[in-house]
Amino acid sequence: MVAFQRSWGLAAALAIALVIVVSGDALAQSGQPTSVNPTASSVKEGQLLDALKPPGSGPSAVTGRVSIPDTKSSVLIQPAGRDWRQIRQETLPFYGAIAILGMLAALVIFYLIRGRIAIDGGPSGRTILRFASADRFAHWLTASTFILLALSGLNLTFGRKLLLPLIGPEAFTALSQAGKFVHNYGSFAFALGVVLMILLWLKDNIPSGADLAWFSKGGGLIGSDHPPAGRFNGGQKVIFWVVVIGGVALSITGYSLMFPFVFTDIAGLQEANMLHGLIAVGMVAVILAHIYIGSVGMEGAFDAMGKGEVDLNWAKQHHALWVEKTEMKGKGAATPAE
Amino acid sequence: MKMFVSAVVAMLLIIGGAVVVLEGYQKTVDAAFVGSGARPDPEVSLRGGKG
Repeated sequence: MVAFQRSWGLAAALAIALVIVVSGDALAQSGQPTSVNPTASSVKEGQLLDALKPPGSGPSAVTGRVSIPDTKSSVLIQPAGRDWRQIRQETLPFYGAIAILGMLAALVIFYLIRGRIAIDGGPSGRTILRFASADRFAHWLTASTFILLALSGLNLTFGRKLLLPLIGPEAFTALSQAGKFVHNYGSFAFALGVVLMILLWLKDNIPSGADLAWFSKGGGLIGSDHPPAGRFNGGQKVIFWVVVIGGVALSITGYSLMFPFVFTDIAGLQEANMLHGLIAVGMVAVILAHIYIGSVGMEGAFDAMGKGEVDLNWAKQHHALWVEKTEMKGKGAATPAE
Repeated sequence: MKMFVSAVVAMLLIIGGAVVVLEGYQKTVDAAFVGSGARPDPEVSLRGGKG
């Protein structure tokens, strides 16, 4: 009896072992994983959004259905908005900081190496009319509004990270609200300034062969040789076209944002916002260089827009072709400085 | 620096003009938008009062 029980128990144990071996082998042969991956079969966010899109709606948005007149309110999810937010919150501040801080660093280094560019032989004591009243008005209208727009715009990009921790939420809110007001309404004065600059200076800013010679010699900024230039040298022409093209682009993108959904849809508004920010930080960097060279970077340069008249030696040094042409015409003849 | 001062004055005037024009435009848009112009009916009797 005992022997029978032993042999029965042995047979049962062998049968169980056989079942385990066979089933394990069968699992291995069928390729099923022996461990469970909980996320393997989960739906990816992108796939879910694709599945929710109405047929033929394109990549723009996941929409529902509304009965009110404003059909825009039917949008549930707009996937492109995530890319816009990423650029708005991460990419733009990163590259904007590089552009602006990089330009400031470059200007400091340039000043330490080159110093202030002096008038060769010193001031002559005689002046020549460089910019008439209308020129200076257009310049200062554009410049003063650009500074306001730049500061209020930079606050939108960097203020939350830089200013908010310093001045607190109440002051930051009041400042940002005032900044938005100034940015929106001040833009009209800036746009007018750009139009005036185009009307006044376009004809003197057409690129010419003299500009290539000017650039090939580093514009007199590198070394002591000052290549001859007309009313505007190559560098000034670059500034002019940056301001004109950038100003027009900023105006178009800015007004499309100021009047939302009048000129374009949500995707267009996001593109306008991204372009507006990227162009603006680029322009701020370029204008920093312009402010430097027109003030501390070059002796006598500020007088051109400050008083309208510049020292004759300065004019001959930096705009020899223009002085020659002006003296031949008898316009703006040199007069003793007051 | 006369032209600088003139430009700043012009800028302030333009900002003031833009405020008047655009705030007026905004009020017009707000009034025209369906559902945003819910105001008490000027006719007192229609408001349940004794007209």
